[in-house]
Amino acid sequence: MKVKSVFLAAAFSISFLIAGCSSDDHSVSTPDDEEVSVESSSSFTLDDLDDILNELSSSSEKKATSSSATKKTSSSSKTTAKSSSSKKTSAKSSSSQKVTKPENKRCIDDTTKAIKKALEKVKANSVEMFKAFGKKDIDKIKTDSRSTLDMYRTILKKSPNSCEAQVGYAITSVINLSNDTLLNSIIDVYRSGDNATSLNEDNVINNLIITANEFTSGRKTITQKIQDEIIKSSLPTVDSAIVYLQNILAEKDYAFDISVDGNPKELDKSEFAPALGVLFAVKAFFTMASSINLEFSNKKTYDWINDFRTIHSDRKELDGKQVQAVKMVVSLIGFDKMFTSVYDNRLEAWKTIPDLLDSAFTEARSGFKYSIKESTTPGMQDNDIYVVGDDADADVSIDDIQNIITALDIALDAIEAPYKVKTNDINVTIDVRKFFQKNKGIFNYAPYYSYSDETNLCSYYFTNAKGDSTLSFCSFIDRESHTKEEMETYITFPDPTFGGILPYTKTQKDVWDLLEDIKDNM
Amino acid sequence: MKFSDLKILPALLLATASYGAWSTQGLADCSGLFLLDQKNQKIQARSCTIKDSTQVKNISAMAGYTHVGIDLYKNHIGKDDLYSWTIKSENSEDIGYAAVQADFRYLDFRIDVYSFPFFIASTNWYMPDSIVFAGASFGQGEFSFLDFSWVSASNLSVIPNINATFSDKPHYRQFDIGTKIQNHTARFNFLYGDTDPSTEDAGYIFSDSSHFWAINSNYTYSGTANTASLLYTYLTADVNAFGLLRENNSVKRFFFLPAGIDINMLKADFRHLFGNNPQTASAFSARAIILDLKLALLWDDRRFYETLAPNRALTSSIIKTLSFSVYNRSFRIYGTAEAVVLDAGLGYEWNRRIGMFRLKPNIFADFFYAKADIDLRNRTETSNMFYSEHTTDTLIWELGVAGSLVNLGLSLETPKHFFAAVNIYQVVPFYFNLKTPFHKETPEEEIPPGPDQPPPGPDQPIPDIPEETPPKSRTTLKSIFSGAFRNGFAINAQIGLRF
Repeated sequence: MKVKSVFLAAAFSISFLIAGCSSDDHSVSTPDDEEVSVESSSSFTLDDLDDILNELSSSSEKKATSSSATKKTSSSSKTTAKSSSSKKTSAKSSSSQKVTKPENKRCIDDTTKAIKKALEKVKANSVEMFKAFGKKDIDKIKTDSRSTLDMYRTILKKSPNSCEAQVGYAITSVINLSNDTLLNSIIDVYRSGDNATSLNEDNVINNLIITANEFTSGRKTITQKIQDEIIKSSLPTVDSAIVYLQNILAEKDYAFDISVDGNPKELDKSEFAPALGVLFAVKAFFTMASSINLEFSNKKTYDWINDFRTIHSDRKELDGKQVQAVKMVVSLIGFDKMFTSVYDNRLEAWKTIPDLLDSAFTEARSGFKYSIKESTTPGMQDNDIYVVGDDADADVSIDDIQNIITALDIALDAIEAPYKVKTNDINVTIDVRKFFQKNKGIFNYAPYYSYSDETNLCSYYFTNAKGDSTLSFCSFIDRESHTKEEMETYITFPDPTFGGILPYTKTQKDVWDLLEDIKDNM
Repeated sequence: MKFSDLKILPALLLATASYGAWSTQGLADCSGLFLLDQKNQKIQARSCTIKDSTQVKNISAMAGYTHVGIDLYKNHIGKDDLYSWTIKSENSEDIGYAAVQADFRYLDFRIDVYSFPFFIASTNWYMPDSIVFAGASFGQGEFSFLDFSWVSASNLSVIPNINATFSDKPHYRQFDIGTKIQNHTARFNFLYGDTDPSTEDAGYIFSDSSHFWAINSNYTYSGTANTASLLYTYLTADVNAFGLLRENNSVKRFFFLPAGIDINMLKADFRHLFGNNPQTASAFSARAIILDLKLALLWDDRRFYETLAPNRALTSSIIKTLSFSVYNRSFRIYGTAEAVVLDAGLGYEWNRRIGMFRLKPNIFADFFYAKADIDLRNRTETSNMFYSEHTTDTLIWELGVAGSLVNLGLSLETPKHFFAAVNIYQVVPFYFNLKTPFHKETPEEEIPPGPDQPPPGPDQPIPDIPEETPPKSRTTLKSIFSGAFRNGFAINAQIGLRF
């Protein structure tokens, strides 16, 4: 009996050895889509699109039975309200022929079967374009955006109110700015320069000067050509994209579904509204860049920059070219004071910038508000680009979004009315709008100064409002420190309110008090 | 993965600790392990324990104090600073321990308390002649150590550093049954348990939610001159390891690794005494081990369950929110790894009397062979607002190593009250072959559709994408030997007093 039990135990152990133990649960499965081959749409052409669309006219079917664009709620009440800030939009199409002129009205998503089929094909094409973004394949981005844009344009001709075509056109048209002829030829010339890929400062500046000179011919300089291009091409493109996105946002709870890499993605107000905000900001930037005098050529060349760079601080005698370069700098910041001033014919556009920024912040804010709202309803964010929520099955927390909204609120307060900046030591009111109401260049607000020999820095001196010399530049630089009172004596600003931007710094003393507070806080 | 391994091992160690490991009265025991000491990586551990026990009638009390130090260091140099990082873990833990045991005629009760905290209650029942005995124990507590930091070499990195702690709450139950008939003892035990995640702390947290079970069957023959034993152990665990970032009211999962582990081990020991008195006889010993370890990293395609999602590891910022629309990249790693270890060794212990002392020099040398196959896929998913795509890298390592673990030791004892022992261990590799990581990036689109394959088990290779022959490279023996005596070295010293 004893021997038996020993053998039993031994056999028990050995049986485990022979059989071995393993758990069947630990099997490795593979991704379902490991074998999925993505349908390539690169062979899809504008002609193919025409074929699809022509079925439209030959087909008797005029009603769509389903829509690929989804409504996120069952609400059937279609609001005609524009997005919150559309009243402020000054979107106006220019006369450019390339740009499809949009109308500010609601889009609809019940397009016909042929249109829907065409849109699916074009959508696949645009997926290729976005893949090129991921691979940083600039050439493919350009060709794909051009062909995709043509396709959306064709669809919009047949069905101008299609929501999906409007979204597609809006996004693709902005990407298609990369096909701008002037921009591309400027880049080509820059790239053809010596060591064009080097980031060495001398190389970069040399190549920029060569490129700028190359494009400065005839009546116009490179600066004017770029500004013309922005007005003629970029701004109208952004304008029409803005209108289309506003149309989309006016359609309550519209969502754009796209399937990439086998994953459904949904773009909704939480993406469209911030995207519209970005477009307004881009428009503000383009308006700014095209409205102010940034001309710094000297007799249609930019060579003076290199001459200026050869001047060393050892105050040796300057040669002829260097003298000319110094004169150029003086004229830029000095007496004609036209540099950075706003062109007369762009003053009206310039004045819209605060409203554009206001719209930018307002739209972005409403998008982020929408994401928080979505986070409170389960299932609303299933295919969203990012999921908002406080639990582990989310990408960003509600606090993250709330922080952005708070920052946007501050920006809105600052842009809408004089804004009080109040920290422990600094207390100042800034009225940003004032900056956009005048057309003066920023050097109009520089302190009073004069000189006896414009090529000699040491002959420059500050003056008071009457023109009496107070202190030479060189003495100012040589002295290590100045008290606030000394500064107030030596340096006088022509307008302590800086054109009303600082409405409460009414005296010279106020300016220096503020500057000292800022210095102490650096 | 390794975090979870480390969690399960202490649970098993604690289980074995309740079997009279503390019976020696007054012992100081220090060990040092120097597994790797190189410029770019280091694995070292050290521990010192002092313990004491006393018995009054049928009640015994034990107390101990252990200092454990584990230092891990790995410096990764990538193509530039942005891709270079250092991971460092310098742990120093002081662990207090106390136990009380009450022995009665046919049973005993025992309570063990560790300062982690960890608590074990156990009881044993036995018949007067020990023909049959049985036991049960229950343990639960919390582990919260293994602090580590990850530091990027670049200040520009969006995540410059991560300081994190691994913690979880394990509990287990164990049941034993055995029989002892003359010189033969057979014992069988079954252990099962799980770990609950511990996620209350703020900042970066690593934890796991796992369950495991193990069986041990053990047969021992103890004759006058010969002792032989055979042990079979099987352990299986389902591990869900994860990493969270907790900030204010929000918690975000940025790391998730579901894994299955299967371990089979068979161990045989033999010891022969040259003489009748164990106190004075020299001894010959032999050992053989077969160990098979399987690891499966499981595929999980759910959103928010990526192996690593760096975007979600970003602390709250506007950049974090924007990153999902602009550049979102995550990784899913799956595949299998298997290691087989064969080990056989012989040893001899001399027993000499010098005056009142007993001097016992010993030598033990084994031969081991280990083979590991690691076959992983790393799927990189990149997306932004409008597009997403993925590529899959194939990562294959094949490691073969053979060598010897040599142990030299010396112990010194007085007949009654005192003993001291020193043992040193050194790994001496004979053969080392590592096929360098086979790394191949395969865009999914290019994979030709294949026939439907059944989901593979741990014994089967995972379905393969067509591959080129992996480049072979051999690490030279010279490079192994140059570091051999700095690496794979361990030392243990003990001093004990008996009263």
